[in-house]
Amino acid sequence: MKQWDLNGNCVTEIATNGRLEDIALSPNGRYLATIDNKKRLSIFDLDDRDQDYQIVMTTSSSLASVAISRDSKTVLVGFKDGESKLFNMRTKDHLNTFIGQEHTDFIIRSAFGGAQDSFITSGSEGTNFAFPLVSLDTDKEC
Amino acid sequence: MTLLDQVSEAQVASCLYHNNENKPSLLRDHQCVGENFPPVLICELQEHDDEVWNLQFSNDGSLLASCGADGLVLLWNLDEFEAFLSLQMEEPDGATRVANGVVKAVWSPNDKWILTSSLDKRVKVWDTDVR
Repeated sequence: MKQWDLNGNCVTEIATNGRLEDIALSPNGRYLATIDNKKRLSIFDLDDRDQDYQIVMTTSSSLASVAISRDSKTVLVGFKDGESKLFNMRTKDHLNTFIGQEHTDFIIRSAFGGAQDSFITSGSEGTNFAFPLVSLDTDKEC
Repeated sequence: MTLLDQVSEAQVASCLYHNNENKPSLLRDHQCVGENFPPVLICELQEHDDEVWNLQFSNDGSLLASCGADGLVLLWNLDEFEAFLSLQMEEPDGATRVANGVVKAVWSPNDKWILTSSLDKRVKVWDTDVR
């Protein structure tokens, strides 16, 4: 993983031992989240330029996307089977799991949406537009 | 957190369609209407010739950038949802352009630059002032 300045100079290089599939930067500029082909979510502290921690997902499905909320407090990981999981960035607690729609051959991303990131949205192979997912925890459905 | 903050958060947490930046008034139970939530397709943007791989609104919310397998990066205005600009890639012919599909296009936090990454293994920085 490389960090560049806008003149094209490589400023930092952080070695990782997987194929990075997606990255997300926290809006407060402090953290970098990456997901790789070994089902790992890694959080890097950009001040220390070092890996903070890593969560290895135990799901059978591999990872498709990663996004960080506007308040830089939660990280959303999308899985290839359509599920999305929400984690507290600081405590690593798993906050919620959202079951999604058809999601087999293509990379489909999940993201935060709405005022104050009230919703989780995701694309789908079954329909033409993104819509919020059903939360397993609270049975919310739209 | 004060007691009032806790009540406010609890009201927001139990609101199914909550989509409001403001703290709810505590004079009545808070419930957002479903109409503020967008479940209806209003238009389809069809300028791309091939798979659209990524898109992002500008941070000021005025423009949309989309990119994909056809090697194009399109900028859309949000009044008419019209593609008013295509970032000029170097490739002279259509075949090379398509071979260099653009995987991701992102706006800098101040919307001054757009970064694109493409299958030609290059990350390109675009100045949005010059367009």
